[in-house]
Amino acid sequence: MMKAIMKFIYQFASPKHFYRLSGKIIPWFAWLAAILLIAGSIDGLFIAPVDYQQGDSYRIIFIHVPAAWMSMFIYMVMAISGAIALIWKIKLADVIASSSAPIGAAFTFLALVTGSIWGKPMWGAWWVWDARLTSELILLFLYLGYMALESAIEDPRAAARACAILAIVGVINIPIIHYSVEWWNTLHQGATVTKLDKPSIHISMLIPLLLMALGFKLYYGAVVLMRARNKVLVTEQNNRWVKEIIG
Amino acid sequence: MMEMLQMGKYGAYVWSSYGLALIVMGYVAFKPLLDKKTIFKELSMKYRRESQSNNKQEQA
Repeated sequence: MMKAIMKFIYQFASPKHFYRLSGKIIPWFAWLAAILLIAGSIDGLFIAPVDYQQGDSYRIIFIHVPAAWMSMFIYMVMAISGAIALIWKIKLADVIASSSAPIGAAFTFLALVTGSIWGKPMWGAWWVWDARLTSELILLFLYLGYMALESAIEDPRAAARACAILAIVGVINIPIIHYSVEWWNTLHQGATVTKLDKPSIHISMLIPLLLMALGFKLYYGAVVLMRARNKVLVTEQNNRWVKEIIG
Repeated sequence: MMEMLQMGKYGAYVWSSYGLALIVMGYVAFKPLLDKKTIFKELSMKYRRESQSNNKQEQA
């Protein structure tokens, strides 16, 4: 049974099969992402009510929070892919991990900068060295370190192994980011959605937040597959199926 | 309408956040499309060179 499952996975993860299937999935992800992001932005900017405490400045939440969620989600994808690649030697897992890194770095950058832009009018400071902000900054450095490590090692297989190990070790930072607002005194507000209790955000603000969060996920799905397809074409360039596609 | 765009007194903060997100996410999404074009061009040139050198070998 296990053998049959592994055979299926290996077949599914074969570069040729992946290239064909992902080509079909990308347009769906991309269009759905575009619709969700436009709807979420309109809802977030113009329809959701003004916050009684923060005025209109809180509308930055609809970019800031989904971007911060993505920064952690993509890191977990990279670590899990890295582990899969190390354990089962599935090359495609390495491709997914390395294709994810720049996207994760971009979302981390967005979370940090939009947080800073939101912090200025609300806290009176662009930046404070508290636990949430500092651990998120470390996440950005982890992404950049991952990308630097990958390009510094010439042998692609050795690079993939080293990167997978870095990604797995770096996972320790993820719970630190999430719980930082509980463990340490901080200016940053606590969780309003991702907690076991009922979310303490009003439904009229929760809907655009979830639209944006889902839009960001699908956007990531489309972009990571596009990047992975490009990598597969290059690494498999001596195979007949690639020659047939290029023509 | 103008009032809506001004976002109270926070227009600059809100719009710069959304603008930045648009620029960053736009760049990240379009980069692989450009890369794909380059890869197709380079690989097709490489294959052409290979087939030409194969033909020459056969003729010789």
